[in-house]
Amino acid sequence: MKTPKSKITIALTGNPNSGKTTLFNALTGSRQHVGNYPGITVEKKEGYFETAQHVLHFVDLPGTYSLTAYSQEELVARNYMIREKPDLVVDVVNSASLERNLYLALQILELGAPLILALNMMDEVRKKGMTLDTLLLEQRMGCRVVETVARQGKGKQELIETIISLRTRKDERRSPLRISYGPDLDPVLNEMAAIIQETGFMTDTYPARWLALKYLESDEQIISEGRERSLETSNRLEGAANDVAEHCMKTLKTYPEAIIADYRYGFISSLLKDVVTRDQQRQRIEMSDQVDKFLTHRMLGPLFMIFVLYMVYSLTFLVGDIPLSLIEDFFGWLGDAVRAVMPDGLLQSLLASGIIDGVGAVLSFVPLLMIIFFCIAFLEDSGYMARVAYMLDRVFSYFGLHGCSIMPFIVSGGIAGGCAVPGIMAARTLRSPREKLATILTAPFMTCGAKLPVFLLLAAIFFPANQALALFMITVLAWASALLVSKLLRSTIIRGPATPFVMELPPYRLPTLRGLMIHTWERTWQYIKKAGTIILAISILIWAAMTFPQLPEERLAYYDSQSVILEGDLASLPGDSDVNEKMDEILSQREQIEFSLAGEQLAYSYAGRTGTFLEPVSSWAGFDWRINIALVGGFAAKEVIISTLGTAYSLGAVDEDDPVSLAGRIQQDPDWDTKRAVSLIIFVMLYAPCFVAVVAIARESGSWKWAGFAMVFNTVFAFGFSTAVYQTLKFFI
Amino acid sequence: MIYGQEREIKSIDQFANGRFVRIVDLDAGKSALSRFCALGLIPGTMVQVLTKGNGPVRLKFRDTEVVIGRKSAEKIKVQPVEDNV
Repeated sequence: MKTPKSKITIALTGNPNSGKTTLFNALTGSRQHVGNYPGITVEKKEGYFETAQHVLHFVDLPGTYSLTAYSQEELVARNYMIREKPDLVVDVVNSASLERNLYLALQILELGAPLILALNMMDEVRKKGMTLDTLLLEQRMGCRVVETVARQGKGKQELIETIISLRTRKDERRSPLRISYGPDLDPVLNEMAAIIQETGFMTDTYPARWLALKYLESDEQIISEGRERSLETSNRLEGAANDVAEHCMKTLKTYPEAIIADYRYGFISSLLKDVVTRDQQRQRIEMSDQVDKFLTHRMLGPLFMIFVLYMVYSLTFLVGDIPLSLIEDFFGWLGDAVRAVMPDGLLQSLLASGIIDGVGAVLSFVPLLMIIFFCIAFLEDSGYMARVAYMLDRVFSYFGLHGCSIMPFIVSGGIAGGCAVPGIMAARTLRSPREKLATILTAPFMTCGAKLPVFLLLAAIFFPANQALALFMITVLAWASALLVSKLLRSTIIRGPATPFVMELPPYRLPTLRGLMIHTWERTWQYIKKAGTIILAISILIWAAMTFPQLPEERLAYYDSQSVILEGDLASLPGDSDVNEKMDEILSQREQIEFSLAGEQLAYSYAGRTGTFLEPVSSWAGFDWRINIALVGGFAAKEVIISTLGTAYSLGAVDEDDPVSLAGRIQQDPDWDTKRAVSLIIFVMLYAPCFVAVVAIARESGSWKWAGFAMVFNTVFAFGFSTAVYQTLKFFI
Repeated sequence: MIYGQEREIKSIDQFANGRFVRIVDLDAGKSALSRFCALGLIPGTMVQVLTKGNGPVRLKFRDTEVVIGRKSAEKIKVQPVEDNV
């Protein structure tokens, strides 16, 4: 008989850069699930760890410095702890900057949440020549303290044991921590807490004193919730808070929030007295600082940054090319096998041309994407990405953006291979609505993982000797467009002053392989899932649009009769020496007929008609109807551009004995030249974001108006740009 | 150089190259104030300014390094601490 295991829910919280995610990975390994919090786009990560009697359910809350209503992340973390009431909260702190990290821990204790403090990065503490008296800290904090080194998985077992032991003694209901906020605030706080207790104002959710503190901090979310609950009580509390704020301004020339922070930090220093000892002898300059002198040097820093970004591409091409061609070959073989085994007809065409070609084209880029994702994860986890933001803030603020805009840009594909959807979501860390809007609208210009295959393909064909350079130039152009367009937007339709840029620079750390692998796989898996679902559906849809309606009977009969004549010629060939020459001629005639049949079929289909309809205009930029079909499909998802071109060509040039890849086909096609390739690259880079990104824009900007704007503006801008480049290149090529 | 003038209150972006300063006042709006408080940049905090040249201001305090845009840094009023490094 097995007794059901008891489930313990544990929220992991902590400052950004405290190693929280590393600890989460160490605890849950690959048993993770990434989703979203309902209604908003902050990522929700959950994972499990099982012991003999228990299932530990870990929820990795977003990294925050505080529990105010400053950002979506803070609200999510706070609301989860308050509303979902996890059995335990583990606050992961960077022990090397304990003072600042305990600020969050205090707020959790003030909430009355059951807390375990994980003193992470104890190795760095020792390296710095510091010692921590953990037992003393435990006594003073009144909560369990566990030392960990998440990178090495140290302290994991002890943490799990502590979680289970605390859970089994559940009677231990703690009362919220009470900190004194001094003679100016304490009396008011008590008075407000009394009002809250008396009227039972939201006491079912929040501790009374905590609520009073939030009113003093004029926390927007709490106050609006309070007003809904009871306008009268809320007004009384707001009145009291305003009075004390005025008083503080008059007598102390400061805000209640600053006083609260001051007392909290005072409380922390008293907690840490004798807990932290520093070895004065070992006041040495740290490695990280030494490295940083070079990496953020005024002249060398930016040069090194460009070098690093360039290396990411070089590595991708050097290593990624091998598995790429293997996968391409495999799908090529699979398509041929299906064509060989199955009888000719619609089903064969659907399988081989619609599904295998379409999905194969998408999946063949997985190895490249994995390498790029791995590099990005390395840059992020090592702390270098924060330096990039630091170095770029000056430039960014010139273009009306924010130093933090770097993250959305890079995630969207600023280093080729991102995705605009999480990129747009990453913009929520920007507090200023204007910088945020400009970032959201221009981030989709970046080279996302779905556009990347188009660029890779064209670069390989038209710039075979300089692929890496071509890709680098594409990235530079994407950045230039994003920056210039945001400058334009910020000085026209989203005009307004700049907002504060504040960001932590974590010390350099060597990322763990496990962490890199998990990040790489998460992003790759998202891409594959998309390939397996949306893109498969779209591939089929597009195949149908390219197959139906079928040519009228008399046209088919005409082609049939033509090939019958040729068959006859072939059969009547005499057996002498001229035979080879004659046979070649007939065979090439037959091939010609097949080409024109396929061509006529495609031109006759719905897709062909749309493409042809657009051709008079699109030809200004050098695009024919085939490219038009692919570009229209690309609005659904950019991955589809390649697969549609693939389908268009495998249908348009039936040549089953010689299965050349799409690259080969484009290479052989005289219509394709460098000026068309360049024009297409520019258009794909800049035109309307994919449908999913458009939805994300609507959600993040809070209005479909901006989503519509992004679609129309970007497409017009892209077409204008491509046309200008194509027409100019005509003079030179 | 007149030493008396050096003790005057200036904004933190006026310092550079490892100078130590103490925060006297935060002349910031609600959003920036709340961020400064959460990071522990409050009146009384001793800060080392690591900035070199223009661009964002780079600060070290409470065992943490933080960069702040120049515009925001102008809101942090500080006094230099006598050199005893």
